[in-house]
Amino acid sequence: MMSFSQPDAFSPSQFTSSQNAAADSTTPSKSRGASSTMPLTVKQISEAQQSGITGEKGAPFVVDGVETANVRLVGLVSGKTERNTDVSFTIDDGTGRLDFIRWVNDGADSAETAAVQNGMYVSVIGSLKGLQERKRATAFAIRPVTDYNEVTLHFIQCVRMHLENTKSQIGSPAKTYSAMGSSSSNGFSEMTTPTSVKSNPAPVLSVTNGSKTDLNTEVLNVFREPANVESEHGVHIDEIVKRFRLPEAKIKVAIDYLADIGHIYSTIDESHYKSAFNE
Amino acid sequence: YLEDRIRRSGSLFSASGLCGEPADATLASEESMFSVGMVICDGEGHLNEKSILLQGSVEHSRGQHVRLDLKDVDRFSLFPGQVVGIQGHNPSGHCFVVSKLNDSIPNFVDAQLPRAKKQAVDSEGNQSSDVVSRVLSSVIAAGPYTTSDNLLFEPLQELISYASRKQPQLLILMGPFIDSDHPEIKKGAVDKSFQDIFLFEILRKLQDFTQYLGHNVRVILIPSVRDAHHDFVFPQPAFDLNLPEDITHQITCLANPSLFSCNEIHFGCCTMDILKHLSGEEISRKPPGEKHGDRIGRICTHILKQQSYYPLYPPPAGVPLDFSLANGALEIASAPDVLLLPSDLAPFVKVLSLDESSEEPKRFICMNPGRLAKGIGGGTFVELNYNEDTDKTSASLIRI
Repeated sequence: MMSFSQPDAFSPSQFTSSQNAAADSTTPSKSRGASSTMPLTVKQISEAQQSGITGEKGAPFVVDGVETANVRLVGLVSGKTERNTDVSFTIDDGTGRLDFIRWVNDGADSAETAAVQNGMYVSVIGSLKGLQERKRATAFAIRPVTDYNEVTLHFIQCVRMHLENTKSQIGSPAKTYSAMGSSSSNGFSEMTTPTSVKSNPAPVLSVTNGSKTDLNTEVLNVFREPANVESEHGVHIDEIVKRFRLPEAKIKVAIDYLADIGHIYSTIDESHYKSAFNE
Repeated sequence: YLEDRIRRSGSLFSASGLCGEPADATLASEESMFSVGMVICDGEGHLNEKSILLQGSVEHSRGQHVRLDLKDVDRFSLFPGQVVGIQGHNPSGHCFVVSKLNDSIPNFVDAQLPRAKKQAVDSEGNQSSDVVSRVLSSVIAAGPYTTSDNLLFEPLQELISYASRKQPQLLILMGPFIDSDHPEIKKGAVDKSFQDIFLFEILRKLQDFTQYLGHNVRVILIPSVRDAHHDFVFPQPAFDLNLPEDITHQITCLANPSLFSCNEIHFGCCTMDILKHLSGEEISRKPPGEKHGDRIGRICTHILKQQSYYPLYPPPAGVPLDFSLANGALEIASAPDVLLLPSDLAPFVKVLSLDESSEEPKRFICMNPGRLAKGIGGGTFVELNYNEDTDKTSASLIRI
């Protein structure tokens, strides 16, 4: 049975008053006091816009029409650099990369950052900063992920949050943002007005309409996934069949077509294929 | 090398008379102009329609690049490193709006020689080809020559048995012979040197084969960068074999890439997997409603259109491309009759033409014989019976 740990269950001592003050100073009064965190992916952050006058200092970022105070990311640490006053690192969650800085004020902060190493999965809570078109974030709390289910849970939370926010945008100018998951909810809910209302939010899951071209493209995308590109022997046809839950004959036709036009090639036998895409 | 390619292509374009003198595409101008340069990507990722830049030569545009807008071009096929001629204008100085794109570098002979001289060369060629009839039977294979579970070289033995029965005039074997990707070679779990394995397991079999068939057969060996017993560099020198004198004229070692002829039939060969590399980088557009063309055929023709065995730049990680050796070695001076491009991609034999628009397009055969061994099983090779031209030629893709 899958056990869900709580990625947000940070001990209160990890949030110092100075950090909360820092968080407050960067967000407009409208969202001050709301300490609930929003689970996001780097891609969502990279597409986020600042509300208010463009480039206005301290203007909060808007994701899916919701102003974000604090954000939570789960991803792989790289490029960790330690200095006397701060530690900077990059988080890669598979959708993109985001630079973080964690200010070091006391021994507790040092201990927290020391536990984080390159190549480790971590859960980070922080606030966003926009700096000349480039987004970066200040981290308040970093914690190594001990159970990989946390990563899966985080992405599920991101999907659910995105669906909730985009659904409620249709037909309602004002929207309620409630933090999701009992672990992160603290009873606060926040009323904000979205800066842009999308009439047709993009569906999160694309459903193939059964046309051959679509299936070919979707099968090719599986082969082009980074893990499959790096795999020595590529992907077995059975894995593709399992993934799409379609008859093997249909998948075989798509694979034969992709092999004929040179997008994929067979490796150790006629059942293992790999993308010709150069990584 | 890159600068030379752009400059030489520019002079070939202007000498062909089809286009004017190349201009600087980076300068703002409302006038239509013609420019020559190399396609590059504006970032580290893969090429896409928004990231296409044209890098000019130092001579014409101080080596600067300009973004290309291809919205008015209904058909193109591009990859990084490709040298193209473009017609269009650059209203802002930041973006060149392309109206016409030419991805085929004019042939050196066509561009340089006056018409009378050209005919003389052609008729001379016809006379010489009457002396030797352009007929040739051949068997063509590419390594690995042993399955991944042992170093017994059973697929090679099968191939030699087949060739002994068919008795072709030419046996072309392309590397890797001692595959550096073979599990046992990788682990270093062999008690002989790589050179010894090559000599005893491969060369000895080939010597027996040539002795069995007598003087009617020629064997050609071409290395690969995956050969553990040979120089890891591309372009790659030929194997240095000290063969007994009686068979040196029968077993010939050639460089990678190389151009050779047999019975007046010209073969071009490159064992670097350029097809796979180009397939991973090429982007294309076709007019709406048009059926999907032959993508692999298109990639093959790029090699001859670009007059280079390895027109891709930058090469993928792991390709030991040495530009100090590249200048003459990678150049395809004249289009071969048969182009051999062994690749991990699906094996094929295709008859392709270089210029569909001309009345008599130059036709050539392009083939990927596949790998003779694939994992723990056998793979494929090609039997080619060339007969004067592509129309009467037959080829079979054979699985072992």
